[in-house]
Amino acid sequence: MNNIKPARKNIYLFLILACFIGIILIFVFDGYMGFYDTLTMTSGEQTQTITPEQWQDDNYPHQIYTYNPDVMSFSYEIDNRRFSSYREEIIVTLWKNQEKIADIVSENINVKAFGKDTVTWNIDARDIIPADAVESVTYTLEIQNGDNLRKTVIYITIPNSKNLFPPPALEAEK
Amino acid sequence: MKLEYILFGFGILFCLAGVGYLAVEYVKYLSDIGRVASLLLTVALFAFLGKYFEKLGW
Repeated sequence: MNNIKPARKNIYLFLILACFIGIILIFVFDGYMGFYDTLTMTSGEQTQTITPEQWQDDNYPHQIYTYNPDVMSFSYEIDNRRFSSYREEIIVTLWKNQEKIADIVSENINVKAFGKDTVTWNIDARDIIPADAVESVTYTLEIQNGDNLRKTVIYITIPNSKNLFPPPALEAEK
Repeated sequence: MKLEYILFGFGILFCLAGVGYLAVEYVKYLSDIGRVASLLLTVALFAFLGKYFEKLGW
């Protein structure tokens, strides 16, 4: 039965091992290493996150919802899984109907190799909601990170627009 | 059953578990080329494994 030469039998074992190591190396250098960014928005009691794999999916509509027209706290985390440091300028802007309405953040970051850094900012929905808004408003949040441009649509639902902008009669009574 | 066969079985099982874990965690981050290369290497791995056992006479 075992009439084959040991050297030839070992060749198949070496090839099996080489394939296995190749698969591991591909997962490490192509799957694990690279640049990964995560956007988290907290509004009231709800927290929503856009993960790195969601950014890669162009078919996925990047959306963030808030049912509380209050302060929205954003955090943009950069995970640099590379052997070199990552230096870029993070520019965050707010758009509506393809027109820029506000510059939110402009910050230079320097993330060391295999390190993380976070850029945070707040947007008060009450400052940007138009006075004639009825039920909801939408904005586009753009994050320019070097060559990467991240776009997220922010849906702000107004539960009761009358309470948000009281009529003049109520203000006179105060 | 020989102890070495049991140890071989454990070793193969842990290797498959490790590759499975890596696949679940990181395959979503692979590029298209990386996915094709991984698929080809996996096919080649099982092909050589089958050839090895064939030469053994199993």
